[in-house]
Amino acid sequence: MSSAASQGLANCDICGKLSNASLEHCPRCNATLHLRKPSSIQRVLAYLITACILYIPANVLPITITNQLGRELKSTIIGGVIFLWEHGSYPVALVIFIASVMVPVAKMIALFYLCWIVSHKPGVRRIESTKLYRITEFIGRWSMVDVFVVAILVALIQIGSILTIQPGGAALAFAGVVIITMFAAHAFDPRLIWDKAYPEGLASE
Amino acid sequence: MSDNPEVVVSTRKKLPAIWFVPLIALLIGIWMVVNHYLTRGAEITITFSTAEGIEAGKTKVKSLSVDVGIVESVQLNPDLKSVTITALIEKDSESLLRNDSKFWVVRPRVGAAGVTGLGTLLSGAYIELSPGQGKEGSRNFQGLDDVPVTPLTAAGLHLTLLSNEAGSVNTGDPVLYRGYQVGKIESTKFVTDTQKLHAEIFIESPFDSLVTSNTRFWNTSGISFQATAEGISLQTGSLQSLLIGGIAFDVPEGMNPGIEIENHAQFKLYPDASSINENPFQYYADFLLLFDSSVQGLVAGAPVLYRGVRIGTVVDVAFTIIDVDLARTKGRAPSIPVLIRIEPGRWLGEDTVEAKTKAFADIDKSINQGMRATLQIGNLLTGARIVTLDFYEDAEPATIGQIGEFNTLPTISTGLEEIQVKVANLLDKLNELPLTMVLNNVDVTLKQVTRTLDAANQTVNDLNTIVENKDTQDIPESINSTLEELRLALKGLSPDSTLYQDLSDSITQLNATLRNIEQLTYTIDTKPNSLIFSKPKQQDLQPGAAIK
Repeated sequence: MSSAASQGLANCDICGKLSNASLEHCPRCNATLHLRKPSSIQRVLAYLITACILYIPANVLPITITNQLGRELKSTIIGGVIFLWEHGSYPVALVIFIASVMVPVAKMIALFYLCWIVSHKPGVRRIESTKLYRITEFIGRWSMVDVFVVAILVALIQIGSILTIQPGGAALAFAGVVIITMFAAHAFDPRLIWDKAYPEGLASE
Repeated sequence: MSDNPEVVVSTRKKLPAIWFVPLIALLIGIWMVVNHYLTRGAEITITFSTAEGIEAGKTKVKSLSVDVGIVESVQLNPDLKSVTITALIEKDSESLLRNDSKFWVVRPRVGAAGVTGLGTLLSGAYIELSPGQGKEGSRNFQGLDDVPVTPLTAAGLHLTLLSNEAGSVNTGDPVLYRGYQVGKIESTKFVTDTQKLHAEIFIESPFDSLVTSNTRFWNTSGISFQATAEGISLQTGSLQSLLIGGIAFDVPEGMNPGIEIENHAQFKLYPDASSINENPFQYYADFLLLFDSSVQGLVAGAPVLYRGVRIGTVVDVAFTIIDVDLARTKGRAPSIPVLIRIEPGRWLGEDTVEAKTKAFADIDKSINQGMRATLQIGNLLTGARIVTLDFYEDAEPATIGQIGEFNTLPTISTGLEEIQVKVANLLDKLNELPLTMVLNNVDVTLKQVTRTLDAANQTVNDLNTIVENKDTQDIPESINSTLEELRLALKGLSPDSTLYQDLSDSITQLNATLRNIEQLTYTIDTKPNSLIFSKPKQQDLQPGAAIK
């Protein structure tokens, strides 16, 4: 079994036409041809570091600012989860915890692991790595649940001075974390997992 | 296109532009952190006795109803008696934090002086910050438990009044000058150490100049009703002070206003207006006197005089003043302790600490020069006694002593005391006289006298017997006849008788003869030769007027 890259064939990123990599541009849509996504690992790492940086304000800053009869209440993501858990709303607390805390963290850890395994342990646990990548890419978008909740609450609850909810700085940061991790997942080239199985094909990489 | 495009691609080792993304995120993050700390403001701690209504992260700190900060945390102090509140004051309000800035919690309050803090019923309590005038930079504050009645920045005079009674002295009550409100009571506090009520009052400017060192404060609350021989007197303050109490002040009659006073000075609060004239002095020196003689008639309130001028008051006459053993200074019998109060204002004219110090020095000096305290009868009818101070020639130099916690003045017994002593000495001497012996002698003498009288009686009896004799009773008759005969005999010598005539002529002639002889004797005496030579012829005598 050999890869397309080992035979000097590149898949067009835009229209999907398989053509010789030496052409540089797709003969059909004139897009630039790459054997693999260029500097994929570096881009993933850059996105992941950005996400990590954004993850700090996403948890420290308040995600919602509730103004109830002149009394301002700021709540963070973890604070909201703890509040719901203490008040017995275990399912809701779990959903928010999984979607807002576990998934982004798991996604970042998974991508770091993939980058590390591609760079340092080529050809190890290829099947598992591929499954991990698929799961990562699939669940990534669901992290946005929290941001959606905030967006809906802010839009719906504007009852003058009795009760108003405003988004806090964490909402923006958290949305950034989700988007950046999606970018990171997208920037990762899963074909790199398999490249080490056919070392001859990577001579030109 | 080149022949070897792969080589060109592999040689491009420059860092991908994608690294700008985390860099920008990092820069934004750093900027946010730096900005947060730069605009964070000042973290302060305020200690309150209770955190009622204060919630971490919710309670605001306000100054003149403008938000300047927020409470970050509320913690119980280790002594479990107070709470420490950590608050974050906004950056641009840091200048409000001065070393004399005051904090208090604004809650709904309902009092006689009005209802305040209603706005906090819905919004919840908040901490009011009242900036002071002092140095900036303070971060730790002691919160006030009560809302200050007057704004801290208001111009005026803050004073402390000390009183034994808390009657109707409440925060917010008015301070009156001749019936006009010039200030308020800011806070009251009972200090257990001194057993006195401390009332902080504020006199608004410009009325603060009315308060001088001789000003006296009294409680005007309620109604004063007095029934005396002169009639019935009813006194009330203003309607407000009648209902909720208050404090009035003035300078006692006949007293000069004194000097200006400083902020936070202390004054005594008198229970009513009349007592300021009875005991108008607030600075005094107490002295203990030990009397060996009876102090019967001396009561608390009796005057202390110096040569008849009042300089103080007797405070107490009791053994409870000091330990009895301390009073046994002379012999076994304890002396009687008498506590007197020397009031320098009575003779120095000013009622200040300086006057007190000066009076103390004066008394010390005077005692060294022989001044002593004595007891004297103040009123002969009632027997009430007074304490007097005067100089005595024979007094030894002395100084102010110390017994227990009291200064003592030396005493001396004079006047009535001395008379009593002299009478006692006289009685002693009388007692020592040999009266028994004298009485024995008298007795013997009396017996002799009795015997003499008996003898006399016998003689009288004898005489009586003689008189009662018949012969004796005849004697008057015999005498009578004898006298009759004598009368007849004398009748012959009466001027009517010839014998008398003859005798009278003879005597007249004898007188003339004697006169001649006297003349002759005189002539011979002056001129012995007149016996031989005749007398020269003399000029006739002329009247005195003719000679002149």
